Amino acid sequence: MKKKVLAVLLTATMAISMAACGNSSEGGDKDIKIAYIVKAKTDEFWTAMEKGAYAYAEANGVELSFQAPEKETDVEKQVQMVENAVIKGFDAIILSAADSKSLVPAIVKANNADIPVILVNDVINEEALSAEGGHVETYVGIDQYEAASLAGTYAQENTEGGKVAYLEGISGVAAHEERLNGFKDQVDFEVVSSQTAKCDRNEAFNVMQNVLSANPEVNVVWAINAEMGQGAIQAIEQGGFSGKVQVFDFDASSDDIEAIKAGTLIGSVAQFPNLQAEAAIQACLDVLDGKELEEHTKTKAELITADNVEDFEAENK
Amino acid sequence: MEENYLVQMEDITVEFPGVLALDKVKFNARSGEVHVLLGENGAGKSTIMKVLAGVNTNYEGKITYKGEEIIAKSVDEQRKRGVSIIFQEMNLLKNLTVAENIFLGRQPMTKLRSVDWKKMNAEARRLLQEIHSDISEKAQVSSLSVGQMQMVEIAKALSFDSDIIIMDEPTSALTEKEVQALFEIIAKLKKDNVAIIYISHRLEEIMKIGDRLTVFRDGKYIDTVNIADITMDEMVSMMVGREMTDYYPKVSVKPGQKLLEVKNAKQKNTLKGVSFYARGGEITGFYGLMGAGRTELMRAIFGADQLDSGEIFIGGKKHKISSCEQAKSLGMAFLTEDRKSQGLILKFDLNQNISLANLDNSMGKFGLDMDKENRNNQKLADSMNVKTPSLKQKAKNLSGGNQQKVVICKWLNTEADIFIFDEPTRGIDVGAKTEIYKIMNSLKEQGKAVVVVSSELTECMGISDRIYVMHEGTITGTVEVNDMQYITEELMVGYATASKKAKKVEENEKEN
Amino acid sequence: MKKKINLTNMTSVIALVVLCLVLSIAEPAFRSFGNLINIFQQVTVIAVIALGINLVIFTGGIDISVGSVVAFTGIVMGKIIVEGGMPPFVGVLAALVIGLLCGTFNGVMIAKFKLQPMIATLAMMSMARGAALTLADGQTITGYSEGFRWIGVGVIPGTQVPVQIVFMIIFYLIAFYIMRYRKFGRYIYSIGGNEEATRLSGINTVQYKIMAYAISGFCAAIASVILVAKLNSAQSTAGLDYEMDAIASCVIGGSSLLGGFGSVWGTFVGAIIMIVIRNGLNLLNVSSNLQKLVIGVVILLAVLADSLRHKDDAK
Repeated sequence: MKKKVLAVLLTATMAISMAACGNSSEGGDKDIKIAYIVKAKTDEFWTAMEKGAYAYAEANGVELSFQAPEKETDVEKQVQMVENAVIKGFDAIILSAADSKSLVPAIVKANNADIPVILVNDVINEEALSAEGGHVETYVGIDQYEAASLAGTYAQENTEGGKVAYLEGISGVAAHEERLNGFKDQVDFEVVSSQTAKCDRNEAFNVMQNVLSANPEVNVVWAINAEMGQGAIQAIEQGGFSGKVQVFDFDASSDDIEAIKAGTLIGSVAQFPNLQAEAAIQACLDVLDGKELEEHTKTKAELITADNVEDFEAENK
Repeated sequence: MEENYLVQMEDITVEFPGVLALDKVKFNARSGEVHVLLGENGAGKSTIMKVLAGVNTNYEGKITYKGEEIIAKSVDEQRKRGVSIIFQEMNLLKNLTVAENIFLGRQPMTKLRSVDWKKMNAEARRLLQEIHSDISEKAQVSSLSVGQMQMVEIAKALSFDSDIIIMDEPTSALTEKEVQALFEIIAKLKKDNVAIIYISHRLEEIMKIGDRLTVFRDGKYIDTVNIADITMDEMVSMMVGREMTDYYPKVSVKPGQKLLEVKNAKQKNTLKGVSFYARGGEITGFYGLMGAGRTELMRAIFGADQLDSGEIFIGGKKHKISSCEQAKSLGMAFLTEDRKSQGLILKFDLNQNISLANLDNSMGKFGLDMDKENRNNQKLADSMNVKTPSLKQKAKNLSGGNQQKVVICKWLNTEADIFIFDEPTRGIDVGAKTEIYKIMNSLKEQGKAVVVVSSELTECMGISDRIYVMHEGTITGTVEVNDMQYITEELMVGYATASKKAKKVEENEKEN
Repeated sequence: MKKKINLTNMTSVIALVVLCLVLSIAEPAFRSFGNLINIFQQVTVIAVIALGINLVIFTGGIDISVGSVVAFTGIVMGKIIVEGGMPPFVGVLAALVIGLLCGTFNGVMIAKFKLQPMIATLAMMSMARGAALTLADGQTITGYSEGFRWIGVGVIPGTQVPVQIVFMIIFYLIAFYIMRYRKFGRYIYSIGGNEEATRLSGINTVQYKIMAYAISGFCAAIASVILVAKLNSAQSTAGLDYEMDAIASCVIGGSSLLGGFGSVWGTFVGAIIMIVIRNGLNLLNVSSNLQKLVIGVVILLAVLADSLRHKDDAK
């Protein structure tokens, strides 16, 4: 009997503290509530996007809920988040899909509840979507292929080239594949290795180390995200190959900026996640105002190198 | 304090939730005597000693020690005063050495505040030599036998310069040789004026070693007498409060067919070619010292272990027994040596324990029928006189004797024809023992074959119709039905130690 | 034992009720019918996996390979149905067989070759995950037929009740019946209570242990079928950490990791508690990372309660 009471008290305390944890819902009755669901918060890319999102939301009287599962690979959890957002009755949902097909049923649920869905940064498979009778208002993001080709073109023109190693992303994620191909198609180097390091810095370190021991003459590396780029750079330095390998990556994280200034990274494609967030939120506001949107709301992408790194830093800090 | 008592306990009362364990009992002890504490399980003898040793501090009453009134507040305090207790389940740490165990928590330190191993070992060696033990102080406890562990405990008690050493059932797991060694040490301690409080229910031992005897029954003090002045029968009467005329009840049954026969059983290192048979309507005893191989033999027959070679015949038909499941299906029941860890699921209730070997009996129309199971089990439990408020009681809460009866119920629930009991009365009080003998007799009367492994000589001789004596994996002596009248204890021990050849019993007797 | 189990159930049920009450007050969205359906839908995969693991836990063992088996069986289905073009039921059958085989392999390693359950299932966890990743080349396999997808997204005609919930309840009913009313169930508990005593009572403990692990693998396969049908895709990365959630459900529901104690419905309640917490916290806008913290605390409380309940059993 004592144990029963104890258990109940413990649960009650826990539940109440949980409720206390919950932000929002209370303070102020802002006009528009938007759920911004991304793939994970583990990458600097997402945290920059979150910052930009909240700033823009604040400035425009939007109540924002920025959510994500712990891992980019946890598709089921992201689906549940979207479903819960529909139940909660947000005015709009911004989604960066963890899988291009699995999120479709959840999007359809949002459609049925008349909640507009805006995609950001990651695409949804068109066929799958229309097969289910779902639709999205717009896709906000860079053109991944185009952005990647900025780096590819630079590499082709400004490096001696020769042998290139690619660090790929997560399979099934269209954006990652486009980034790979965007760079690849611009260069005519010999490909000595093309492997995934799952967007993880540690994995990239290991993969790069192995690549360097098998191919010590490799002189160009293209990593489709910043974490992998950093991992590659560390492996290069540790292996004593500094200065011999030209590394390019994607996202222009703060580590990347330091690396460009130090010369260990040649170039990084910045996507301006904060601008994407702004565009996404604005798109929501526009839709709710009755405006029609373009299919692809293109946002800015720029290759950052030693030439423009100082300006970039100044603008974006 | 009267009459030069070292310790005097008066009006001691201990209450546990729902149970009055001790009801204003008294007890005293003199230096240099062996004072035996006797009583059935639950009588309170362990409880009062735990009070004296400082283990159980929740008591009422007066304790006078060395002329001063004291309160036993903790084990450490009592130990410092000179009271040590050696428990039945020893408290040694298996992965430490003998010396480390003796000086646990109070290792001699060097000036640099590290352990002075040399001093500790030397001191331990001295203590061991004092009790004439040849155990090395550097030996790891895990490598010692039970008897040797007991020696270590005694050495530990001595290291505290104890004036009182309490021994709780010290011989229950010792071989005859180790018991002798223990008695020699007790004699020496007596000479050194140490008071020994000896809790036991082995009546022959009590007669041999004790000076005075105090009997408790159901938490109450009964009497204190000089052992020289009473007989074993009187001891038992005091203990159970009634006349016990038949320790070893015997019934006469005409033996039937050979239900179990084993030919030339061999197992590497343990069995070197054992052959025997057991008939229906007969109790076949197996006597021997520890390590003789009796348990190994029984386990192999029941399929718990494998034989390397040999033949087993059940009801005349040869079988290769490869699992307990198979043995059970052939009509065998096996009550293991260790009922707590092998015979029962202690954390489950009695219902589940009793029905485990035969769940078919509990099946109803749609599956397991708990009510049917309960009724069935209750019948069995009642027939065995299991003392418990309900079958929903967890097995671990029962006394040793009742636990053993529950195991018996489990096997009675099957349709076994061959019952193998391995040390069935170990750690059980006289009253319960007799009940178990009666149970064995009734199985005999039903025509079952009963095999009993026992290390208690008088018990074995008392209840068996035929006896096999084993020594280190072979049968060294066989006592047939007609020979039973001629056997003596010396002869049996002779077989068990292989000092007497396995000649015909009569011849051996004639030689004497 | 049965009475004790009812007590256990009550604790977790009471906890669940209190939880729901508090959440309903704190967050109106929580108490909508749509959310209720969501919760039951979100719980099916974990609940089915937990069902199987529960059995293994009853025997005193553990199975951490289930998440990987979910991925492996999912990919196999993908290969057969989508890439092979075979009818769905062939794929499902194959998945169930593979789940069963993985589980049996675990069982044999543990029961017959006496490997430690943690080690043996850790190995299987690696092997099955590796197999899934290799077979699928790290990819996801998508594009299943309507008929197949009905398992994951279909509803009972005329209602809004998803079919997967019905499947889940049916499995639990079957499991409950077997554990309580069949000899199998009693033997499984007894093995967890004291394996040696059970063996010496003439019960083939090796066989029953193998069956427990086999069923665990089988349940993982069933969960995989539901998951793939739900998401319309088989990921080679599916099921990561699912075994932890499943084990947590069992523990919260009152199953003792020492074996011998616990109930089928307790695990069900445990799984629901986990999902309700996640769902509630999500609706309350608490971040994913914090959710993990809260769940960790809940597991700790459940384990503490478990050890309090069994502190006398230690000797």
